[in-house]
Amino acid sequence: MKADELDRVLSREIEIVPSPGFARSVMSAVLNEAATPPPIPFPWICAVPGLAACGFTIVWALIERLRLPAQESVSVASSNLTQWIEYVRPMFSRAEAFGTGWVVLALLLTLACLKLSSRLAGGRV
Amino acid sequence: MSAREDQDDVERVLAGDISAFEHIVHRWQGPLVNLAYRFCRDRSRAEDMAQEAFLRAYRGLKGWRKDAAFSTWIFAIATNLYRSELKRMPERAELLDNIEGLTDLMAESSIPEDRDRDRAVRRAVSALPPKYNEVFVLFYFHEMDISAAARSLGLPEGTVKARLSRGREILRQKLPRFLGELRLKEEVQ
Repeated sequence: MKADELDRVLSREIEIVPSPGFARSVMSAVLNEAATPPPIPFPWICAVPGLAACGFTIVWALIERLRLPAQESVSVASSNLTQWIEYVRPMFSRAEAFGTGWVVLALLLTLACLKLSSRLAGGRV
Repeated sequence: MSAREDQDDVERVLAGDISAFEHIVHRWQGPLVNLAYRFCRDRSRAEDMAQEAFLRAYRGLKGWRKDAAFSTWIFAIATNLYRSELKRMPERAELLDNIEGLTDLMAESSIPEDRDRDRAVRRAVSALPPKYNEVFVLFYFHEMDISAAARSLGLPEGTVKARLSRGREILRQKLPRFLGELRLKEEVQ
């Protein structure tokens, strides 16, 4: 196809005239927009101290962890783990008696269904 | 269209006189609706898209840096919106599949009328993948001005030229017989 043939055809576009109420409709939408209060901005000023405190705590914990000698940290970690298991074992036994496993499974399935349906509705699958 | 008038109206809107935006709407409604129409080929939808473009322009008036022309800025906003709308149109895939059928249909008749030919070529252009179609739309909307099309699309001129060339190549492959008849008719005349 020659470029000039295509140019001839595509340059001959029909010009459409906006409908008489178009400008009024646009201005109505603009006035609505202007009348709508602006969205509430995220309160960064209030959140920054809390976020800074969290960040500082995490960094401090990491530094403290690195300062522990390697050998000591292994033994501390293993003894802590043993203590923790001993501590939570009775909780698991009681939870098992109430069928908590099934409840957790049901919750996970519900969550998965919700996620999948929202993805389908959003056309992302 | 006066750049000075646009600038004055923008300043008035930013100063709180929203009614000044109506002058901008009156000046730009034709070009914005026509550009939208070239993207979607549906008059009613074109007006909806143009209205949304005006709303976006209103929301972003503060962001217009006066080093660029107001026309460039508003076309860039509208083009950006129309491109996203174009990608969301489900009927595009159907059109692409129908190009071969369209060619056969045109080949059945003797020599197609100009009107049919124009419609067929426009359908074929509309059925191009969006990145080629949008370049065609902007190139012809801006009266074959590559740099204006590139500014509206926010692409380098070289990319626009390359996409135009590739788009023409696709059209040549999709509509060979029909366009061959077109040449024959023009030679006879």
